[in-house]
Amino acid sequence: MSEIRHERTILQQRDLKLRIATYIVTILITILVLSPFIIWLTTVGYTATGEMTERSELQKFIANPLKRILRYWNQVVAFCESPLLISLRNSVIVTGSTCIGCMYISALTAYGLTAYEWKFRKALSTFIVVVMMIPTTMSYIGYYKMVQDLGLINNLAMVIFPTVASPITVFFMKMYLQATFSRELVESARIDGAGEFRIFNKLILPMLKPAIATQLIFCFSQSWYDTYLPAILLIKDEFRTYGVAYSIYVIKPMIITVAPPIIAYLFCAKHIVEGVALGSVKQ
Amino acid sequence: MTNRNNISRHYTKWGYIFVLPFVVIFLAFNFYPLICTIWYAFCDLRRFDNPGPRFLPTIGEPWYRNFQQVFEAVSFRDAFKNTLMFFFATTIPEWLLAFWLAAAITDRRLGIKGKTLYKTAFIFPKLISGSTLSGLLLEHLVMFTASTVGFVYVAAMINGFGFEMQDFKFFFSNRFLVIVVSVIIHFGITFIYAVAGITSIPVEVFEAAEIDGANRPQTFFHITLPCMKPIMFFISVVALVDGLGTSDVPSAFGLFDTLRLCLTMNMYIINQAYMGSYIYDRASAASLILLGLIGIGALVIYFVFIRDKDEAKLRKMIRKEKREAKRLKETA
Repeated sequence: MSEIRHERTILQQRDLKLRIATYIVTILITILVLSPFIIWLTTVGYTATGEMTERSELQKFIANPLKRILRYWNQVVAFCESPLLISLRNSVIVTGSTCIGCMYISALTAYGLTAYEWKFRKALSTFIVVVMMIPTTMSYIGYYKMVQDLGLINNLAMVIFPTVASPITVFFMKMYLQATFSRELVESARIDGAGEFRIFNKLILPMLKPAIATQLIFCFSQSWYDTYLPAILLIKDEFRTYGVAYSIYVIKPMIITVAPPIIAYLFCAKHIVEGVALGSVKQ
Repeated sequence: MTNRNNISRHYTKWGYIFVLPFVVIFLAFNFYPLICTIWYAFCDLRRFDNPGPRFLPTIGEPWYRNFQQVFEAVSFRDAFKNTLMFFFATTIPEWLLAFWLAAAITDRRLGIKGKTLYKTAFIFPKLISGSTLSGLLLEHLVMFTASTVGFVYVAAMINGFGFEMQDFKFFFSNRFLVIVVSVIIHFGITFIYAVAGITSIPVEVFEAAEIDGANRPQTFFHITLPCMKPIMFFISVVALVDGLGTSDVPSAFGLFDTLRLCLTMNMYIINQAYMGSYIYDRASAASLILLGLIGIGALVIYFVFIRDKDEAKLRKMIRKEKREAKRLKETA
């Protein structure tokens, strides 16, 4: 009896050591990762050279609220007339249409590949798996030449189209749909007289919500911060996107840059892990 | 029976309709340009006012001219080495950290709390990468690592273990900082996918292993890893494509990188094609080489994760039997 107890205490001690080690590592990484955000929140207005000696915006605000509010108002007015707003509009157009288009088309393709038995289904599935491994940046030289020949440089649609068709998203959604799809549901909807597009919009899209949330956040942040394709295709100032106009090297800490992805993440966060978990059940 | 077949044939039409937009957009905007890029690697296509691609043998040059020029360039050789070095040096610690943390956090016996916090926090760097805040994160990480390395260095010097400045050379270079920052930025995704993969395994399997007396490493290598094969395939593909095609983090350090310590292949391609050089053919050749590199990695991934060894054996046997049957028929 005493031997068993002794053994158990040894095991518990080992567990305790491991637990402490895990907690130390996770908390250290969490602090490291979140620290710039916390520092940034408390020193919003520090100067372009990164001098931390100046008083932070928060402190200034507490010292003289009315004056600060008036100054902010002026900044807002100046902002509304600046080229920043134009670049922001372009970014919203590009990111919005990329996300909506990519999600809808990928979901459609995944559904078409799982639900119907047509001739080239297997061939297309293997094609998607093969093509998934090729980075999209690989084809950009040919794409640039193509757009140049067509005379469509400085056209926002040309930035949207190549990112809309994303094989990796299709593969992920197909993985998820294969695990959750039920043919009986679709057949019962057919008996009730629903058309195929209606079945997809009303039944399959809500079913795919977790997978869409997972892929949406990656698609959104990639498209919002993308500097490669917009930089080579959108040359004129009035077509610049936000990521190109205010790139990483311009220290201009503004909440506009980081707010959209974080808000999108907060909206999707609930579904994200669930989505991946179910998607990995089957292949 | 025939009626049922008719009905299913009526619905197969919709399969084509649903897949059509993806196929059309992909072929027009991704696949056709990719073929063009491969074709340009064997063409003459330089300068901004070029007359269009001309196949190299038609203008009296050997077809491998672009590849020869690429391999002769010292900068490309440096980029090639750097890309491979960065890929292995970031992927290995990232996977070790991510899988260890995922296994420790999801372990039922340990019962770690605050999972949602970690899941949210670890993906944060990826979420803000490319923004001004990412610059702050970079600065912060660089200061953190540099000061830590500095402390170790000073401590070693004081104690006099026989260390010299040369021994710490790597830890003071840009390369080390690039590796640290890329690991921190990319490890969140790997971690989340790993956690998801582990949580999708049924609990009974772990319980059975526990009763049979398996310790933690045994459980991880013999139960967890084989059970999460599909998601491992996904993780490794993402790691391959992101790792070999990396350009964002190294380019943040590479403004005055005259020794080409941080030059990667993707950066080399961008420099050749768009940064004022307009040497599209050489850039195409370089991207074809990068594609070959990714292809080798993809083959390795395919053989490790996708290919079913028993199924392949079975297919081989079936093929053999068919051949023998054919031979018998011919002789008869």
